[in-house]
Amino acid sequence: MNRNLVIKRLWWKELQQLWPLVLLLLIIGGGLQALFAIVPTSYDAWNHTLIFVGLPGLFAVGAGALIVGQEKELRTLQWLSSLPISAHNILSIKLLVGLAGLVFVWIASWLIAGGTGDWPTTALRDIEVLPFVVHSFFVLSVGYATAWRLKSSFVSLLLLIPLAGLPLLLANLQAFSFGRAQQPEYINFWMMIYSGLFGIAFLWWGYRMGLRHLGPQAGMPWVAQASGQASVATLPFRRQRTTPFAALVWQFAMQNRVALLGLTAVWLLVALAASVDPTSEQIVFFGALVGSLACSWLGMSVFQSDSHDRRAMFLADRGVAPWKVWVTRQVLPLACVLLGLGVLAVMLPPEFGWMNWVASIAVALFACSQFCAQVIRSPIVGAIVAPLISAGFVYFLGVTLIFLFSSPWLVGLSVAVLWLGTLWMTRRWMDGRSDWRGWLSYLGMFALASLLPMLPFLSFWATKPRISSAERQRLQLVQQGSYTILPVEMVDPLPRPSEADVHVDVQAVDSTETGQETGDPPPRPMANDGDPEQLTPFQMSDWIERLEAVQRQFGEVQQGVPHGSIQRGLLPRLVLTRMHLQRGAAASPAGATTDEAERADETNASDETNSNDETNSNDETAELLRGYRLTVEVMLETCVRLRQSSKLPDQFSADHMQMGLLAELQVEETNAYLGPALFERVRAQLSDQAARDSGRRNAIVASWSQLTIADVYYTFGYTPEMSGNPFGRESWELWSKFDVVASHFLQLVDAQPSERPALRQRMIEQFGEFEIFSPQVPYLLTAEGKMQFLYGELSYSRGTASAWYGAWEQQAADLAPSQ
Amino acid sequence: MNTHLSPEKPTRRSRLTWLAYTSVIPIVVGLWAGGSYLIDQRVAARQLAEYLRDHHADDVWLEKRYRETTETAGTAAWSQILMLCDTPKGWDENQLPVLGQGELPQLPLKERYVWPEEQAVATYLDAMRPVLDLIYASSDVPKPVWQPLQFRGVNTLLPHIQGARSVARLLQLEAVHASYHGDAPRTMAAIQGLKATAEVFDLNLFLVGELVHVAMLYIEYEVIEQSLSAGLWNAEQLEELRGLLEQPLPIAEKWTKSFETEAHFATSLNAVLPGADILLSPRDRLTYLKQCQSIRALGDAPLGQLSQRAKQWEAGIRSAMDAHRDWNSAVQMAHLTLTPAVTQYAVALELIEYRRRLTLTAVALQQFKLAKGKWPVRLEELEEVGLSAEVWSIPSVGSFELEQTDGKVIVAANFANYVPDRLKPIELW
Repeated sequence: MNRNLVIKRLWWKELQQLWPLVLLLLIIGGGLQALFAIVPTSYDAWNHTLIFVGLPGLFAVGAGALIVGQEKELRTLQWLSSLPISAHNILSIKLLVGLAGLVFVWIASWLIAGGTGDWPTTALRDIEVLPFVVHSFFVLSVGYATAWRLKSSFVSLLLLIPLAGLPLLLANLQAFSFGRAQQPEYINFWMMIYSGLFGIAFLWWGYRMGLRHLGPQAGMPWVAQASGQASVATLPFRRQRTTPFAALVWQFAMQNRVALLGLTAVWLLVALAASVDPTSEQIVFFGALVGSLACSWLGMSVFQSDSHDRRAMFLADRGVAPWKVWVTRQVLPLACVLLGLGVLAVMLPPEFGWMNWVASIAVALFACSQFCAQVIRSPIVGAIVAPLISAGFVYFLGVTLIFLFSSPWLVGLSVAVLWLGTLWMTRRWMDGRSDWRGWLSYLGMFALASLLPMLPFLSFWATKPRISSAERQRLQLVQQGSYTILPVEMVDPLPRPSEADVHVDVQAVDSTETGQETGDPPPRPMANDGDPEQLTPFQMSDWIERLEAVQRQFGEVQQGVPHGSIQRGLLPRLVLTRMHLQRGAAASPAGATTDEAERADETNASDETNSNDETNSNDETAELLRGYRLTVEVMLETCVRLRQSSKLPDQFSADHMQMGLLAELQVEETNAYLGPALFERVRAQLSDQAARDSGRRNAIVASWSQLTIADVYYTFGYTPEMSGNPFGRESWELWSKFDVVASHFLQLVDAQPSERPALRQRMIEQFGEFEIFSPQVPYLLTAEGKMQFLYGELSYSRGTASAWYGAWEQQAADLAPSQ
Repeated sequence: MNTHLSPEKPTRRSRLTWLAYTSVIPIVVGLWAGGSYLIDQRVAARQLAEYLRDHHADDVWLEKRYRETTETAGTAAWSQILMLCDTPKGWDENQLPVLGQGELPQLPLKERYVWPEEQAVATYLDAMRPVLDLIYASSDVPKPVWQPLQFRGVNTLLPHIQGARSVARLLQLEAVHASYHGDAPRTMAAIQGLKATAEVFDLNLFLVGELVHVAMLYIEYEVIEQSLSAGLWNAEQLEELRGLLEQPLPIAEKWTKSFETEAHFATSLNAVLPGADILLSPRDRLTYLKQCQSIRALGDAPLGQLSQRAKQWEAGIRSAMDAHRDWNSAVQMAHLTLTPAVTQYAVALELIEYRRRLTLTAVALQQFKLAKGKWPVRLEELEEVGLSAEVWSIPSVGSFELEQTDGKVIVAANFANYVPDRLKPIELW
C-alpha cells in the first residue's frame, strides 16, 4: 500500500473521530461565554477566563480516550493492526492529530473569548496562560498513555483526575520544602516544568504501551488474564437471579463497579477536603469542580455502560421491562450521590449552611447528565460533554431562579422532566433506535425542561407595563426638538479656612493673664467688626460677599450654577435673614422696617451712580435687606439655569427653590423687603407655568433617551430598590418601567389640570408604592384653612415629579399679573 | 450451557440485605430527608403567611399608628426649625464647639476663664437668634409633632429624627454660652427648649428614634450639670430644674413599642439582605421574625436588669446559631443586623435613667447648699430637701457616692459594667 496514501487516510480517519468533540466543545464554550456576557455576574472576568482555559483542558482530557480508547472498545484497532500499516505510523499520527487538535482548540477558545467582547479580561491579565498550555499538553499525554494502558476508556478518564494534579502537587511540595509556599509565581513555574517533563515521559511510556498493544502478543488485558474472569457483559449469566430486579442491579453494579467505587471515593475526598477548611477558596473551588464532575459522571454511568456492546438491546431482546431497566440503572449512581452528600453534610462544620443548595445542585447535575447519557451514545464524547452541558443547565436554572425570579418548584419540575424524559425514552434507547422522531423527542423534552423555569419571566414579559408605539413615537418626536444642557456646578468663590479667623492665640496668652490665680477676669477676645479679612462666616457681610462673587461667576460661566454649599444655603439664609428683619421690626417702633426698606429702595435706585453707598453703610437693617435681596436674585438666576437643564433632578431642585420663594411671598412683609422691582421679578418667574413645563418636557425626553440602569439616579433622580442583582429581570423591569414613567410624565405635563389627578392615580395603580408618585407627602399642609409650607420636605429629596402640579404650583400660577 | 458460568444461587435474605445496604437505604434516607425538608418548609410558609397577617406587618399599620400618636399643630413651625438648623447655610460651623471641632469652656463655667471660641459662638448665636426664638415660641405645641414620613419597611428614612440632633446642639450651645456669661434666664430658656425638643421628636415608634431621644436627654442633663457648676440658680429656679427632672423615662413602654416596630421592619428583610427571599427559607424567616418578637418580652424587667436579660437573649441566639445546623450565613447576617443593638439599646435606656437620677441628685445638692450654706456629708441628708433615697439607691445595681474635696463636692455613680464616660461624676463648686 502506498505509504503516503496510508498516512493521508489515517489523518483523515483520526480527524473524523476528533471533530465532533472539538465542535461540541466549541459550541458549548461559545454558548457559556455568550451566557456570561448576556447575564453578567460579579465573577464575570473569572468565568470568561475559566471557559477560555477550560476548553483546551477538556479537549486534552478526552482526546486520548476518544482516539485510542474508543477504537479499542469498538475493536477497530484490532482490524487496523491487522492491516499492513506500521504501528509507528498509527501511533504517531494519532498523537500528532491530538496535538494539532489541542493547538486548534486553544486558538479557537481564544477567538471565542475575544468574540464575546470581554477580552482581554482583568482576570486573564492576572494569570499566566503558559502553565495552562503546558499542563494541557501533560494531560493529553497522560490521556494517551492511560488509554493505551487500560482496557476501559472510562476508567482511563477517571484515572486522569488524580494524575492531572500531579505537577501541581509536586510543585507545591517543592515550594513547601523550600519555604516558598506563599509564592504563586514559583509554584506556577515549577508546575510548568513538571508538566513538561512528565508530559514527555508519559508520551514515551504511552508510545511503548501503544506499540505493545499493536504488537503480535497483544491479547486480553492483564486484569482479565490474571483473574481468569469473563468480561462484565457475561456477568448476568454467571449470576442468574431469581429476582430480575436484584439481578439487574447486580449486573449494573458489576459492569460499573470501578466507576461507582472511584466516583464515590472522589466524593469522600471532597468531603474530607471540605472538612479541613470550608472557607479556603482553593478547597471550595476544587471541591466544587471535582464534586460536580463526580456527580455528572455518576449521572453518565446510568445509561453509559449499557450503550456499548449492545447490552441494552440484549436486555430488550429478553423482554426486560424498560421501567425496570430505568429504575435499576438509576438506583446505584443516585445512591452514591446521596451517600456523598450525606458524608459531606456530616463532615462540614455546623456553621456551613448551604447544604440544601449543594444537594440541589448535585441532584440537578446528576439528572441532566443521565439525560445526556441516554442521548449521547458515545461514552467518551458523553463523558466530556455531559459535565459541560449539565453545568450549563444548572447555571441556567440558577439564573432563572435568582435573576428571573422563577419559582423553586418550577425549577424542581424542570429537573424532574429530565428524569421523566429518560424514563419515557428508555424503550427507544434499549431498542437502539436513532431516528429523527427520537431526536425530536429528546429535543422537545430538553426544551420543556428549559422552558418551565422561564414561565414566570415569560409571563412577566407578556404582561409587563409597556408603552404603545404611538406613545414611543410621541416621545421620540419631542426628543427631536429637545436640547441637552447640563449645568456646571461652579467652584466655591470664596473658600474659607476651616479654622476660625477670630480665634485667640491661646499660646500667646500668658497664664498670669487668665485670672485663674488672681481671680481677675482675663482679657476677652477682641471683636473684629469692620475688618473684612476677619469676618466670621456667620455675619451677613460675609454672605453678601459670597453672593456677589457668585453673581460675578454667573457672568463668566454661562451654564454655571452656584457651588453646592451655597446653593443649599440659599433658602435657609433667605428665611433666616427675613426673620432677622422681622425681629428688628418688632424691636423697633411700628413701621420702622418698612421705612428702612423704602430707604434701601432709594439707595438701590441710586446704585447706578454711587454703588458703594450701601456697602459702606453701617445700618444693620440695610445690610440685612441687601443680603435678603441678593439671596433672592441668586435664587432667581439659579432657577432659570436649573430649568434649562436636561437632568430631571435639576427640575426637582428648581421646583424646590421656587417653592421656597413662594413660601416667602406668603409672609406679609416680604413685599416691602423685596421692593417693587424685585417683587415683580419673583412674581413673573413663579407665575411662568410655560417655562416650568418647557423645562420639564425637555428634561423628560432627554433623560428618557439617555437612560441607563447604572445612572438611573442621575437621569431620573430615582434610586431603584433592587434585590441585589442589577442585571436580571429587575433591570428589564426598570427599563420598561421608565419607558412608561417617561411617557406618563410627558402626558402629565401636556394634560389639562382636570386630567392630572387621574394620571397620577394610574401611575400609583401600576407601580404601587412607586417613589416618583408618592402621594403621601404633601408639600403644603392645610391647617386651620391656611396654607403652610413644610420646609423640612424641601431639604430631603423625594421623587422627581412628586411636586409637579401640586397646590403650590396653582398658587404660583395665580400670581400672574393678569389675575 | 456453559457450566463454568452457572450461578451460585444466593439466598433471598442475602440479596435483600445487599440491596438494602447498597441502594435502598441511601435513597430512602435521601427521600425522607428531602421530603421532610419540603413538608417543613410548606408548613412554615403557611405559618409565615398567618404570622404576617396577624401582625399587620405592613407600612399601612405603621403609618396609621404614627398618625394616631402624633399631633399636627406644630408641624409647620418645627418643619421650619428643622430646615433652619439642619440645612447647610453656606457657612462653616466646624470651628464651633458642639456643632464642630471647637472646644467647650472648662468647668466651672465662669467668664473669668478664657474661652477662645466665645466670640465665634456669640456671633453664631446672634445669627441664629430668630431660630432660638422660634423654638421657644413653638415649645408649647401638642407633642410629639407629626412630620411627613414615607414608610418603606426597613428602608424608612427618618430625616427629621436625625435632624432633631442639630436643634438640640444649637440649644446646648446657647445654654453653655448663657451659663458662661451667668445669664440664668437665657440658660433656663435653653434647657426648657431642650426638654421641649426631646418631647417633640419622642415618637415611641422606632429604635433609632429612641436612641436619638436618649441622646437629646443626655444633652439636656449635661447642660443642667454644667449650669450647676456656674452657680447661676436661685431657689426658685432650682425647684424648676427639679421639676424638669422628676419624670422617669418609661423604659418598658419605650422598649415594647420600639421593638414592635422593629419586628415589623423585620418582615421586609429582603431590603436589608438582598436576595433574602430566595436565600432564606420560610422556616428561617419565621424563626427570625419570632425571635424579633421575643425581644419585646424583655422590656418589663426591673431597672438594672434589662441589660442583663438582653445579654442573655443575645447569648441564647448565638448558641442557637452554633447548635442548629440549619442556620446558614444569611440567617446569621440577619441576626447580626439586630443582635448587637439589643443589649446596647438596653444599656442606653438604663444609663439615661441613671444619668437623670444623678443630675436630679446634683440639683438637690445645690438646693441643700443654698438652704444650709454647706454641702451635705451624706446623701441621706438630702431628704431635708425632699430627695428620697430611691433616687440615688438602685436595688441590685448600687448607690451613688458623695465626696467632698478642695471645696467642691462630687456625686458619682460608680456602677460596674457601664462605660464611665456615659455616667461621669458631677462636680459642684
